Amino acid sequence: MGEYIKPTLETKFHIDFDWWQEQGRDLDIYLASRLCPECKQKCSGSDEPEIIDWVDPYTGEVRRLSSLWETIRSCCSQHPDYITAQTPLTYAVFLIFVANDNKPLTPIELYEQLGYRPASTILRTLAGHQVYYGIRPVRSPIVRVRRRAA
Amino acid sequence: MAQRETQSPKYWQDLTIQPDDLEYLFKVLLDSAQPHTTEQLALALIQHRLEQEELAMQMEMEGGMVYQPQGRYGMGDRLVFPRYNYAGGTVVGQRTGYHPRYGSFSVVQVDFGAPYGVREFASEFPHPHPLNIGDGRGVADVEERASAADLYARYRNWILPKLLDALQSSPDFVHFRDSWLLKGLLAPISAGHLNIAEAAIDYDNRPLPAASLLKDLELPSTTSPATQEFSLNYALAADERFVNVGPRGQVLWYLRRMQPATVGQVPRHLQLPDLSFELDQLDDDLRHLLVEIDDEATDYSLLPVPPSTGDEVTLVLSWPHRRAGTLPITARTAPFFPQPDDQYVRITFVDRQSGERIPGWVVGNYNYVWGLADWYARHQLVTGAYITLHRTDSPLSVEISYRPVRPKREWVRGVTVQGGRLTFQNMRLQITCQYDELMIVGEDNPAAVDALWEDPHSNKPLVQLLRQIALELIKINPQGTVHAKTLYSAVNVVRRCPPGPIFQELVRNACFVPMGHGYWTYDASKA
Repeated sequence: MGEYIKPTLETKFHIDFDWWQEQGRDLDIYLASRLCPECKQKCSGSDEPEIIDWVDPYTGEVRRLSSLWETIRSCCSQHPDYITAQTPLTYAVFLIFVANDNKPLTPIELYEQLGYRPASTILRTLAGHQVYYGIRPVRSPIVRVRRRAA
Repeated sequence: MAQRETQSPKYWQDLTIQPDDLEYLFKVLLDSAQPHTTEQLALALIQHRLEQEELAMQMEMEGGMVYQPQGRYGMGDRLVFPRYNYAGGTVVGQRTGYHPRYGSFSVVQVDFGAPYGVREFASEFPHPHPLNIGDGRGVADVEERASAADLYARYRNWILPKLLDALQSSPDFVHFRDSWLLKGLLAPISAGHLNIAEAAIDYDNRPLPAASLLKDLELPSTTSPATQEFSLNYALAADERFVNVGPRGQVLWYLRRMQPATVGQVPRHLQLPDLSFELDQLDDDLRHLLVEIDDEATDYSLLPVPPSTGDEVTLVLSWPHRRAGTLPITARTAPFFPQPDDQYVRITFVDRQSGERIPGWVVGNYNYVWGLADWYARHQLVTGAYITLHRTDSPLSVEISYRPVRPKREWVRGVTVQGGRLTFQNMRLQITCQYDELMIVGEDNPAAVDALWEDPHSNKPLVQLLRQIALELIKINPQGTVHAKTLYSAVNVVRRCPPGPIFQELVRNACFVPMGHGYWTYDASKA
């Protein structure tokens, strides 16, 4: 784990898939509930969803995710009721990341997309001790011991 | 955000200046053979740290490649990952990947070693990705980096104190004001050179910059003019005979023995009492008067003083400044005087009527200008006289004038000594100038009045003095009132006191009854 840096309004956040792995939670459960009626119908006829090699838009790391991710990103997230004013803030932020293919975003950028909660509220929520939906500041999972130049 | 260490605030917050850093700065100064400002050295230090980091990365990347998704990698290849703090790993496996948006591409398995293990990355992935830029060889190609100047702007408050500490602790570096040079690079300034500098200032009878003094010193031409100037400034600053009397940002050398002895000490009439007051207690009338009275002890940052934008400003001469031959530096008068580079600035007053040039001194630490005692005496200016300052083209010169009238004897408020104590009464005195009716205090025997001057730290409570003076002033006014400005002016004949504490006593004590527009009367029954 990298060093702790107090997040600010300029800090980029993302969904940390390592967190889901550490917690043993199933991402698909949270994704499936946002399928639009058409996609839900398509999925109901098939067996297990297909596994895809998702490429991290920031690091290039590959994650094996279910095709639900790409279905929701490319189709369901375009529906007007994907995020509504009733959607809890943390879940709404999670859905924004899915819609953006987990591209890292700051609280200010999240506010611009969400529109109904100030960036400071988003920051306060995401910067707390509790991690919601694996949303954490972007940082390297690998701590490098640096050699000093001669 | 994964980033280079030097790009993180923590790196600069935790900065420790290492011997290696000082060696580098030593080399910077040695190579340039020129003085550098602290800012220049800080920028050099930051640049050095950035280059060290770059070098360390390049060392680590020897034989390896910067990872890019578009790259093609084989088993055993060593890769460096920009988004993972430039951590390195080895390709240990490969498979075919698939994404409905991109189709097939290659996935490499990279071993980062314990405890991180193997992670998978896209390769032969030609689709748009922020890491797919450059040729994969330049570390800087794949990240946004703040420059040394950016880092200095952001973290200077952490960097500068540590750098100054380190430089000051090192015997190799010397500084004058904000410039640094290597001790070994100082031009040789001998006792003889300093004697010549002393003679030059003495002969010119005016402050001179090091550049002018150097013309007479004939230093070896092997050192640059900037180094010569630094060396001379450094030597003069260490010699008690010389004093820097230039305005801020300009070093002008003068001889301490040519500086009036009185400039070095605050005149007794200007020594301030240790009194404070609470602005909130004063009503709008009194606050307005606080702004109107030019007193150097008033903290104008708390008051809405309109800035002096014109080419002249008129103030009323107070008793202490008349006695000390000084004028206050206040919010209104400050723009007319240069701020000292050190403690004092030598200026010239020019009498606007006669053109006479009068040497003056700005005493920055105590907010007054000195040098007008003879001018006040010669023109018989009374306490309360209007004095006007006029801006000139030179920052070191200010024109001064008063409003002359045909000399005549007038009935004015005056102070005299009777039975060993000061009393105020209307007196017929010779008047030569226009004056403020509320502030004028004439006198017929200055020496006797001076003898009764109270120490500013007198134990006598201010309110007691105020009662005594208010009673006397009310007695000589047919309306039975006294104006707050008159009280201020009269108290300062006896003891130095800024207007704020005087006004506070007026408000706090019920025996002083406000009559409006700054006038007060006295109710003995409430004393």
